[in-house]
Amino acid sequence: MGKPTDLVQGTLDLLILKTLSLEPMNGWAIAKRIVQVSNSVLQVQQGSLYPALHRLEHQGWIKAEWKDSENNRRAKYYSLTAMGRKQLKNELDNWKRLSGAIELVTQAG
Amino acid sequence: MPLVAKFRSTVRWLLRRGHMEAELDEEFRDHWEREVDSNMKAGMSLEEARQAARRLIGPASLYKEECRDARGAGFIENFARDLRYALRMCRRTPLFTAVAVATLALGIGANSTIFTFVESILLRSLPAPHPEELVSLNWGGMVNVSYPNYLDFRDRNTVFSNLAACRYNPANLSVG
Repeated sequence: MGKPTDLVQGTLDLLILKTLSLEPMNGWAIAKRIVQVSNSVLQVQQGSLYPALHRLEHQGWIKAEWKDSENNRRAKYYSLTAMGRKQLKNELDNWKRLSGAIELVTQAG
Repeated sequence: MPLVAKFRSTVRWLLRRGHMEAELDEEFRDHWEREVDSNMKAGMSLEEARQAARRLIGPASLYKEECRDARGAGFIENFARDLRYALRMCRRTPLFTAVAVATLALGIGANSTIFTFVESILLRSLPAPHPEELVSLNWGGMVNVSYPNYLDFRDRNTVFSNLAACRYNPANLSVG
């Protein structure tokens, strides 16, 4: 099925959780925000975004509700749950530890 | 806690599958429309916007499948689908199905019957408290004992708390 490596999948979860911690948004806006904030370095494709969103909702870290958006369209807005906030903190700590370790190893010549 | 959330999410997906599928379709379509709109705002024509969006987004059905997998209902859904297919195939080959069902029925029926007997005679313990303390007595190798003797044994023995005697009447059962 071509699943991304564990590292990439976990990182995408972190990005989504962090983006949603600012405000609830729909899938398209999440992808757009990540691209913008990362100065177009991180491109999130629909193919990885929506499975990730569904997985996060399945695990109870985000919840979804259908709201009326602009243009009288109904869109699915995702928001962070309390469990999600805790998970975000965990993932941030993990990420800092992991990237710090990688930094150490790559700098050790 | 995540286990409860996962369970609830899977159950919700299974029970309201039609509704959930429609939501999934709408979510993907909404993403597509927003992408097209954004492309048009960037200056493309409608046709160019659509093509750019299609190229960017790729095979939506594949991603929808991954979303379904993420819900954990994949196993049950696949199993249900395979089950329906198997039933369709059974309907198409009635003779084979009949033979298979008859064989299974005979096997299971015979097995259950034998097991019922074995269980009640050999495996189940006697309906008495402390069945392991029950013993069966005979007098000098003979099972028969006279009633007065039985009374004496029962009242004057120092080993057993109580003693029971019964009359044994074998009978033959036959049909007709």
